[in-house]
Amino acid sequence: MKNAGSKLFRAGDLIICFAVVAIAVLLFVLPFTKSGSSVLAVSVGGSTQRYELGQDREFVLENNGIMLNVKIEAGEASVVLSTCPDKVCVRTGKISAKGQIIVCAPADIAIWIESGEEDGYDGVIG
Amino acid sequence: MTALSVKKTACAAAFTVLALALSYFEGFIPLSYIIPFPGIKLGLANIAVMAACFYLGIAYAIGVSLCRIFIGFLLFGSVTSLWFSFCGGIFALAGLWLYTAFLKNTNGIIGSSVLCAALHSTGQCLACSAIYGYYVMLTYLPYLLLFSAATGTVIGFIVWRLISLKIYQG
Repeated sequence: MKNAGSKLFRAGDLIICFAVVAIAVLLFVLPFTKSGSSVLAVSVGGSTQRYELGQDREFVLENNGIMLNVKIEAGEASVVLSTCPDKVCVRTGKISAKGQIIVCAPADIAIWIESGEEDGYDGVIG
Repeated sequence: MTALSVKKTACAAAFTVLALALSYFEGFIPLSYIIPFPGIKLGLANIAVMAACFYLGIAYAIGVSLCRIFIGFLLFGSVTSLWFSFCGGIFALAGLWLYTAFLKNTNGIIGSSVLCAALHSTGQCLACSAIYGYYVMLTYLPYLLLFSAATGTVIGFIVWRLISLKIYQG
């Protein structure tokens, strides 16, 4: 353990440096391959269907005589049109973080983000 | 590992003081103005820990590091900073142990220093993840790792100079 034989630089150090940089680059790339994994769950009158949040699409849901126009765009979901007089679901706006939910009670329809990134904290006091 | 020697223990205490002084001194270096990225630091205190490892052995280095973390917390820390520096310190010590146990014959001081710096960053990121969520690991760690490769090299060079001075002879 004494200082004898401790050199400043050896060939193995290059491997360590290279490994550290390689892991850093790998972590740079990794989040982009994971970003399409958010799932939107749609429950109409009790039966649930799932959609990829990464794919842009528009579809119409109908229940109890009410029609909802759901739009998925750029990883965000929203109800753009509703024939229901309340319009609570339209005013909820866009949802994108895990756990967020849009509900139309008269139509018995709920839309929520099932998996994906959670909404971050506003702040943490140290 | 031989029995606790008074001379070595006294020297380890001196290294602990050096580590504390260096981590205090580090606060005066306005690194965040040059690189505007929170959490980045040179890791000057690791100079003392690594020097303790090379002069006295890994057991004393562990003592120096843990004492530095605890006394640093008492002097100018908060509960969060204790948690952060403890996680970073444990990981860095694991790197130092790994070096003395397995990599001593194939790697030089720069290698061990970079390994310690990288593991220290990883440990602190894990500590951070426990508070903020695990996506921190993916967004924050790559920058810290790249930076620790650079600082590890610089710190390694300083440690090598310090060891060449042979300030302690057992």
